[in-house]
Amino acid sequence: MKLLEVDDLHVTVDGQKILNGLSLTIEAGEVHALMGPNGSGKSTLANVLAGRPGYQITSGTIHFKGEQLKDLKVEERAHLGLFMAFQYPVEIPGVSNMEFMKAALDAQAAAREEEPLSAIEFMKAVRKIAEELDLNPDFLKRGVNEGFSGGEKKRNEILQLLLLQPTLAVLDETDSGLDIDAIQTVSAGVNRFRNTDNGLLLITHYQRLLDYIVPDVVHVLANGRIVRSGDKGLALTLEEKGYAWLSTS
Amino acid sequence: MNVAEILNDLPRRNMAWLDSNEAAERLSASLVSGVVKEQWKYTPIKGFIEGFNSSLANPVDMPDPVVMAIDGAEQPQIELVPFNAAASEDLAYLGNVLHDGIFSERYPLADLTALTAGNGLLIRILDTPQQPLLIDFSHTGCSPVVISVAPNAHLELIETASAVGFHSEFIRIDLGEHAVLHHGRSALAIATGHWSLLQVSLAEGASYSLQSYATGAQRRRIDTQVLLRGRGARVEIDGAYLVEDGCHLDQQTIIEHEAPDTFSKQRFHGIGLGKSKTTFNGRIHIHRNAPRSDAALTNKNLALDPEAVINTKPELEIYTDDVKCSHGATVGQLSEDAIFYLRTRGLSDESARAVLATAFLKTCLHGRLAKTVEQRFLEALSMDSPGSGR
Amino acid sequence: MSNPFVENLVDREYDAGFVTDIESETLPPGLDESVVRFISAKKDEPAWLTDWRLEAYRGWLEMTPPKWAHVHFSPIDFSAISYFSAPKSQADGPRSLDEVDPEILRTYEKLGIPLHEQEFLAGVVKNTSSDPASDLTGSEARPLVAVDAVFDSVSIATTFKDKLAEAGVVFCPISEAVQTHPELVRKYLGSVVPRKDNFYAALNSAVYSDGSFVYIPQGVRCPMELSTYFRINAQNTGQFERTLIIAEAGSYVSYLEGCTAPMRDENQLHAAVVELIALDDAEIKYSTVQNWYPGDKNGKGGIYNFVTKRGACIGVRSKISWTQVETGSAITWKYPSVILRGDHSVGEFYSVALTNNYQQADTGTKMIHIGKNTRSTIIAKGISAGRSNSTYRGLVRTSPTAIGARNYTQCDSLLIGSNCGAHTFPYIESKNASAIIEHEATTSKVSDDQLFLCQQRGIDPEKAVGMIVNGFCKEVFRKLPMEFAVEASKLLEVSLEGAVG
Repeated sequence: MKLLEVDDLHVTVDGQKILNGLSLTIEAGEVHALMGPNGSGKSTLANVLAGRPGYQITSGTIHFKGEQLKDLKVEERAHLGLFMAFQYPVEIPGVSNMEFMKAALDAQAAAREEEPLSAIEFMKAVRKIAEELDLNPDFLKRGVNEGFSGGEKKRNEILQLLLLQPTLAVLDETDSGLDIDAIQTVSAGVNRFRNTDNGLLLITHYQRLLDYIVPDVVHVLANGRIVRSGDKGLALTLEEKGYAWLSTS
Repeated sequence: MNVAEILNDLPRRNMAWLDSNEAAERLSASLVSGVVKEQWKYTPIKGFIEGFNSSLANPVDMPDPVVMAIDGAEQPQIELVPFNAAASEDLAYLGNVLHDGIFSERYPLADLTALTAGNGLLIRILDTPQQPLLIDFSHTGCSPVVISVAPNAHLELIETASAVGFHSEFIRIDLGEHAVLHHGRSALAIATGHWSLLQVSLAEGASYSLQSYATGAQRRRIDTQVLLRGRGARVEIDGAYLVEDGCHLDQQTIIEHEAPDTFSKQRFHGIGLGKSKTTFNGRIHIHRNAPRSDAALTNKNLALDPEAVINTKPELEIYTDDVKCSHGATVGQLSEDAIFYLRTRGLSDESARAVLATAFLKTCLHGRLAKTVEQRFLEALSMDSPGSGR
Repeated sequence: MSNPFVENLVDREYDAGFVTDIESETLPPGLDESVVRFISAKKDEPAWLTDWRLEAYRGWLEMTPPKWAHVHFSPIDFSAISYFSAPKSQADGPRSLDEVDPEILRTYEKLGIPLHEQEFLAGVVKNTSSDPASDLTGSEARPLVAVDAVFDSVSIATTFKDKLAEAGVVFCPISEAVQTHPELVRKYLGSVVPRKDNFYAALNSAVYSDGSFVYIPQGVRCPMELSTYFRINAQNTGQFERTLIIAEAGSYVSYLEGCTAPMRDENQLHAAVVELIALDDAEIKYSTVQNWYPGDKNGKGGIYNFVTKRGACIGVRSKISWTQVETGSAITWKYPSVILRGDHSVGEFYSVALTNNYQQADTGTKMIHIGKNTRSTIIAKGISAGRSNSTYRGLVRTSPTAIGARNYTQCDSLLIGSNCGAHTFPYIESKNASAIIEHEATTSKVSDDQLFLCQQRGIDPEKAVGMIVNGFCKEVFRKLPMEFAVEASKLLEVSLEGAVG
């Protein structure tokens, strides 16, 4: 089943063209990696998918589970099962992590007309995931990402991923700023999330992450469009030869 | 009608120890002084004086504020003395402690409150009571209250102002050496007019913590003055306020560091909604003979609607070098990044805003009043409690 | 007082405190309409300007001096002040440098102000100090500066006029501009600071004697720094200069101003008005190093510096930047402000105010946001020593029309000694929910630990304090044109002598 279909997408930000005809299809059960040099438009794609204000789709379409994403609000996309792990998770002082996640879970359950988790079930679930991610349970009481280290913030994103169980997860440079131990913990979490019904789009600058989360397809983005796709071997070649190789070969 | 005429017409019901002619003169003089002009820059004082006038036009014999222990039981550590039943040494004491407010050029309405009040109440805390003390100002009119806390006694005080007509309070608290007071106060009713002066004096080693919560009213002004008079005295204030459409709130705090090694920390978070006017003025004054004072103030405001007007002025006045002092003030909106983040997790735009606005206020909400106040704030923000499991 | 250095350090001398012995034409003290008419006639002014002054004078009579500032002084006897004083040899109007009284030229030489273009061009005029840092400014890389020198009530000389004229820049005494560019003066005089704006501005409007006029035509980047040097010499005179700077669309100018006065026991009044106008995309950078005589160490004498400075960013994307280093004057009352009318316009205020002995400074700025997406930045550093008081007073206001306005304010105070005062009174008035305003203030002292560390490393306490104070002010000094920055930092050290603690 097709989860995501991006067709000839053109996007401008502040009047500047960032994406120029990007097309991409992700099937259920697949993991796609999107690589590319700085400024190629990787994070723009993640933000457009999530619906961040200020990103203007000038032409092209995005379908998620068969629905036109363009017509959906940010939260409606989330209710439909789209998740974005932020490159720079936002700090929200005063809102405890726990309160925040419960509010998110409840809102999504309500939108899907499901029974919300009871407080006890919720606590159990969160604690279990926190433990797996090596997060001190204490951090659940702190403000969302408030005073978290870079690594803690990224692990907190993965915790939300595992708790919310979306259909498609877009991880925007989740590996940036992580040391090798943290990458392993985060990757283990992501791998636990993977199954045959959901999909993953990994946005990354380095091949390193792909040693731990093995992709089915690797795309290379340059100047706002995908210039090459291949299997995980492509990532290794890129690592070896650099992005410059793309323009010369 | 000008202010002088209003003053002349006011029925005087003052306590025996106050010379009403002198008081009226003093009042007229201070009303035209530069200090008062500056202090009432954003809130015309005339409206308040008219408020006194109208509320006293049909004088009702004013009941005392309701004062009781939290479980209603008699407590031997607490002694209540109405001003008109006070013994001569009590009167001397009252004259002394009320002097700071009544004779201050800064607080002409304290004079007016004393001048027009029917009676006042002296509350003596002789020792640590078992239960918190409750005071509710639920009646229209003017109420002077003096609370004297004995050295080393600990008190928890919950004070609410729930009257909807014009009312004014002048509360003076004296903390003896090493006395401790936890004070929660709220003014949540949309009164026609409300002026309140809270003046707290701390002796050596005394400690005072205040949680101050307010909404706007048709006209509301809350003056708070803390006098750190003894070495090592400490005060911590957390305040949260929300001013609804068409409402007005002006809060002024003054911390006087009059002794060495004194400490003050204040944090106020507030929100303006609709067409409202919110003013905050936080003054820290470090006297020359108060070395090693440590003072900090932050005031953060959110304007959530286009016509919400917010004025803030954090002031520092420092007369010695060996101090640690800082203040900060901001006016802004909810962070669009934070709203987006919450929405990507499935919250609607409205509830994302609600969650963030509530969190902003909740940072300063704690103690016994927190629940009621939060509920009141949420109603104003017309939303349900986030994460409540619905 | 905790630190023994305080008492031990020598009292400093005010370097610019000499009197120039020249013959002056000075009006007897006192002010009435005839004095206003006399000044106007002396300047050969058109009738509209005489009327304008008279109107201001009549307004002034109705006004009272402002009382809100955190300064204390006995009321000024305005009838005891002489409102006009001019060096006699200059009394009969324009002047080439050769005609200038040699005594006056020597005055400016003593002050290190270059009035001889050739010497200056040849780099002959060196900084008088032996400080190696001044080599920076004495080198060939030294940028050209055109100078207008105002001595008591009149402008003495303006240098580099020809070179400026080539670029179309007008830089001349305002009395001359009234004759040569009457339409510009008439259009803009009083347009930013109305005649009856405040007590001192009204007084200035009535009796202003001279000052500088700058006009930068459209698209011109002024080829050199412009500078005016103000000097009060005569006794019992007030100085009331008026500066008007107009930057047409797309132009740029950097303007510097310096001030000194002789040491006298009486207080002297200085009530200037400065108006800046920036049209579309124009930028005006205005820097002041104010070193009027501050009075002696017992608080006797000194200048009352009651000045109204205001700029209007009329055009879109225009920018006005005030930088001031205030070390002199017995009392400073001064709030260089910006009215941000044009969309996307920018206002800046960078200030160092140092007070010592019995000096009092109440200074700050007003940023009035009216246009969309207007931005302002305020960085104010106050240093108090001795028994002085230094106050920051500021206003940031966002009007309902100022959608997306932003302000950032930082006020830091440094206290030296336990008898001084440092105060902060920032007014924030937000009438626009899309505005973001941030204000922060901190207070610190020169700590014994810092001094000890410096001493342990072999730095004497006076030098150490100078270093710490300079570090504290660095953010502001960076905004000054380089040669001024060096001057300013030395000035601070001198001003602090006798105050270290």
